[in-house]
Amino acid sequence: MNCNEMNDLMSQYFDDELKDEEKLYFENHLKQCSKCKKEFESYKNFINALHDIKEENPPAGYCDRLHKKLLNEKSNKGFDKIRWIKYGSIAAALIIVFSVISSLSNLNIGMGGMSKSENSAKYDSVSPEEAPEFGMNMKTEIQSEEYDLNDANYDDSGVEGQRIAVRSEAIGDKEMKIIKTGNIAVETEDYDKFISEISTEISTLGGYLEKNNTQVRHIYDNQELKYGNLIIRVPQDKFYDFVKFIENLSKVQNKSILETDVTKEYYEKDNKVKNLEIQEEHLRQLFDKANTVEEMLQIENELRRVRTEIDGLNISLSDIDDRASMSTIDLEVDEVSRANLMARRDNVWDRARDGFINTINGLVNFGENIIVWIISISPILIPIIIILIIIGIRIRKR
Amino acid sequence: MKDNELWLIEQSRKGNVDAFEELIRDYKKSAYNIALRFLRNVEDAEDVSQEALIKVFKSIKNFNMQSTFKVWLYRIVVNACLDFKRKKSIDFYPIDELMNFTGSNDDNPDDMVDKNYTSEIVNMSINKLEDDFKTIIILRDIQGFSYNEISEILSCNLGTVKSRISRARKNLKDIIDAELYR
Repeated sequence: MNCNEMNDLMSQYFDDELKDEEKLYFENHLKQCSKCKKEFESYKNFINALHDIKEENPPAGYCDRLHKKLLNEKSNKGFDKIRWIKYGSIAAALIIVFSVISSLSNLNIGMGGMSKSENSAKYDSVSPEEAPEFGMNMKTEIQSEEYDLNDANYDDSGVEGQRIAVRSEAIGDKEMKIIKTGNIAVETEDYDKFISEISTEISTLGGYLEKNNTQVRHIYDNQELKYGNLIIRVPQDKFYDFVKFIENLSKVQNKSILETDVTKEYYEKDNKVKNLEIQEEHLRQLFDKANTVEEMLQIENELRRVRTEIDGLNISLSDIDDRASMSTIDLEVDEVSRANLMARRDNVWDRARDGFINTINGLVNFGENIIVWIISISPILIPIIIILIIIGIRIRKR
Repeated sequence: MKDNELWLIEQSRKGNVDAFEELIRDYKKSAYNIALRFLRNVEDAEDVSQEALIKVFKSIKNFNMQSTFKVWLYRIVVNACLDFKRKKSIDFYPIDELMNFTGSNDDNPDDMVDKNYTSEIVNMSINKLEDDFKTIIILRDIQGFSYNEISEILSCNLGTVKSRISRARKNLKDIIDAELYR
C-alpha cells in the first residue's frame, strides 16, 4: 500500500464510511508508517476543529420576519403569480400577433397591374373550343352514374303504411339538363350598331332579349359614351354560336361561362312527382270508399298536401326546363371612343413605365397605410408594450 | 421523517402558513447556518435563507415526494446560496469582518495552541474554497449530513460525494497549513 492511497481513505475513515477490511488495512498501515501516522494526527486535529464549528442561532426576530414574508406571499396570491405572468404574457403576445396580421391584411396594396393580368388569365382559361368538349365529357360521365333514388321505395306515413314503389323508365331515355349561363363584358366603339347587330342575330337564332338597360355613362369630346346591361336568352344549342358571334363583333374584356348540370336534381324531382301522383290516385280511390265525414276530411287533407307538393315540384321542374332549354347570357357593353381604344395599344416601354409608376405609388400608399395604422392602434400598442416591459423586468428579477 | 410531516405538507399546499412553519421548525436554523457559512454575512444569510424558505412554501405544490422533504428543502437552500453568490460573484467582504466572525469563544487559549487547528481559522479558510468544495464541507462537516443525503441534495452519485469530500478536506487542510506555516 502506498501512502497516497491513504490520503483518500483518511477522509472516509473519519466518517466511518470504510468497509471493515479497508479499515483494518488502514489501521495496519498507520502502525507501520510513521509519516502517515503524523499525517493522521494532523488530519484528526483538523477534522475536530472543523466539527467544532458550532451552529449559530438566527438573529433575533428571524422567525417573525419569515412569518410576515410568508403571510405576505400568501396574500399576494404568490401561489399562482408565476403562472399568471407566464400565461398572461403568452396571451398578450398572441393578441398582438393577431391584431398585426389582421391589420396588415386590411392594408390595401395598390397593384393595379396585377389584377388586370388576372382577368386576362381567366379569359384565356375558358376558350370556346374547349368548352363544348367539356360538356361532352360530362355527359358520358353522368350517364354511367346510378340514380339511387330511382330504386328507393317511398314510404309515406300518410297512406296507412301503404307502400308505393315506382320504377322510373330507363336512364337512356333521359335528356341531359344542363343550364348554361354566360357572363360577358365587352367594349365596342359604336354602341348602337352593336346592339342592332346583336338583336338581329338573337332573333335569327330564335332567342330573345330579356332585358336591355342602356345609359349614357359620360360625354367625351362631344361624343356620348353609352353603357348597357343586357340579358339575352338563346336556345341552349345555339349558346356557343352566339358567344362566338359576340367575340367576333367586339372586344371582350371579361368572359365567364358556367355549365351547371342539374340532370340528377331534375329527375329526382320528376320521380317524386310521379310517386306523388300515384299516391294521389290511391287517395282518390280511398276517398270514394270513405264512409264517415271524419275519414273524408282526413283524406281530403292528405290530398291537399300531396297536391301542393306536386305543384311546387312542377314549378321548379318547369323552371329547370326553361333555364336548360334557353341559355342566359348576361352581357355588359361598354362604349369606348376610338382614342381610348388606341391608347390601349401602348408600346412595351410605355406600359413598363406605367407599371413602374403604379408600383411606386403602391409602395408609397403602403408606407402611408402602415404609419396611419401604427398611429391609430397606438392607444392599444403603448400599454401593451409597457406591460410587457414590466413583466420582462419582473421575470428577470426572479 | 416526522409522523405528521405528510399532513403538514398537505396543509402547506393549501396555503396554511402555520402548518408550514411547523413543518420547517427544525430545518430553518440549519438553513440559516448553511447560508451563513456560505455568505459569511448575517444580513445576506437571513435574506437568502428566508427567500429560499419562501420558495419552498411557494413550490411545495411541486414537491413530488421522490426524496424526503428535508433533502428537498436543503437542495433549494443550497441552490439559493449558489445563485446568490453567482449574482454577486465578487466577494467584497473585508478581512476584518472575517476576523470578527468567531466560532467558539469559550475555548481555552492553551488548547488552541495545542491543536494547531482552531475552528476559527478553519471557519475563515472555508471561504477560500471553491464553491463545490465549500458546499460539501458545509453539508458534511458543519451540518453533519450523511453521504447519502448529500448525494441527494446535490443530485450526484455517492462515488462523486466520497471523492469530493476527500478532495475538499485535503484542499481545506492545505489552505490552513499554508496559513499556519507561513
